[in-house]
Amino acid sequence: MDKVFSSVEAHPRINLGPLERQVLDVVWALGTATVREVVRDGKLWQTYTTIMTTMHRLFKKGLFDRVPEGRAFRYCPRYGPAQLERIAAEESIRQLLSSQNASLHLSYLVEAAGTQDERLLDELEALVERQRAELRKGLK
Amino acid sequence: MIFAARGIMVSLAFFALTYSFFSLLALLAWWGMQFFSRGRPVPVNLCFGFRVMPFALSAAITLLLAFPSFLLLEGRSMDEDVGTFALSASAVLFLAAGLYQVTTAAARTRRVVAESLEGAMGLTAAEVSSAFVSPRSVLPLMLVGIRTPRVLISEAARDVLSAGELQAAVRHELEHVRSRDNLKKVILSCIPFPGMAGLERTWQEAAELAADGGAVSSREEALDLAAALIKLSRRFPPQAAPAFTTGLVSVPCSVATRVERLLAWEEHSIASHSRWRYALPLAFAAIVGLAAKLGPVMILMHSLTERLVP
Repeated sequence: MDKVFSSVEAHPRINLGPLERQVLDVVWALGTATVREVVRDGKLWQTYTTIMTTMHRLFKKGLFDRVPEGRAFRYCPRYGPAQLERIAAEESIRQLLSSQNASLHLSYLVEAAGTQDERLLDELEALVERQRAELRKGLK
Repeated sequence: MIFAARGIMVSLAFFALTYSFFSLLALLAWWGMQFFSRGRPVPVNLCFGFRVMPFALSAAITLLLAFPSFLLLEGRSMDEDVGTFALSASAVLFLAAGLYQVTTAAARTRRVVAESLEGAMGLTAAEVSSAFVSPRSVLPLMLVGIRTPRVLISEAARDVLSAGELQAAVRHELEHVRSRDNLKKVILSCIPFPGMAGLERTWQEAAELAADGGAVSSREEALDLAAALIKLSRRFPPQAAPAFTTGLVSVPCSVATRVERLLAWEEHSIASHSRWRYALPLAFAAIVGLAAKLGPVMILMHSLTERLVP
């Protein structure tokens, strides 16, 4: 989850503070939540008012939808962790490519992506081989 | 004769409006679905349906209702305005753009396929008569052709894959034959509309995942296909397949995603079930209903045409 937040930080509209990250994490885990439910969840030690302000801020930043429920609001994350990561990544890449040294940045990006891909393929290949070995062992 | 030409012009204008309306509706529905699906894969037939339905619906309504109702109910006068001319011209331009796109892409693809087929030899190991090993294939493994589909395997790809992996890879391409994916690409190319690129890309990704799912029927086959994908993507960097062809390791779908799905393969976990057969009785009922009320429907359609294309 830290990986998600570190890429989110680069996004200007969803630049998140530490408490905002924690609240988002709790609401993702709960699905939807009122302020009281987040407080009751017990993962955060902050007061009701602090959490209410934080959730309101996340709503203002467009990361939460909310519907009235009694005298309070029920908040629902507008994006899942994967979607948020994607938005943040797209925004970072857009910023990178709109800068003066765009072509240079692009070459670094391609290089980094290639290395990352290679590493991922290594891991997947090892997994395939392990599963094949297990399958052969099961057949014997 | 002039009246029929006027009917064609009004029908084209009507088509331009309905096609734009249904396309925007499809795009809105698509965005809504993506938002609510929250990253879950969307069924391949639904993607394709969203993409072609606007054209199919607007063409059917125009040909079967708008044009006949105009011929039957319109007064024999010549009073069309500039807006109608402009709309019908835009419809002609759009149809011509689709035709141009298809013919140029088809010519390019024919050239590439002809080059790739030079010196190609039948592959006996794959137990299918339509698989060939080609010394000049542009992709390691690709499916070409619509009426007589052929799987082309480059010599390098054949050398790098084991027999089981090669068979799994060929079965993947044969799944594309079964679902007529190359023909679907031609259809999509015929009906361009701005803003549809994302939907088309999603369909291509879903088609790859569906072909992976259809090609394997056991854990061993799933691992063979996963291994083939890894080996080929390592050896040959993924690139876009030529138009109207399908490559095993092509750009729209991430190899890692496909391998992860194959590693998580369980019986019936990936297979997609077509639900189109449920739509057929509905479509039949709609046609019978329309035929039974053809008179009022024609009058309604004519008044709608009058409103939209005054």
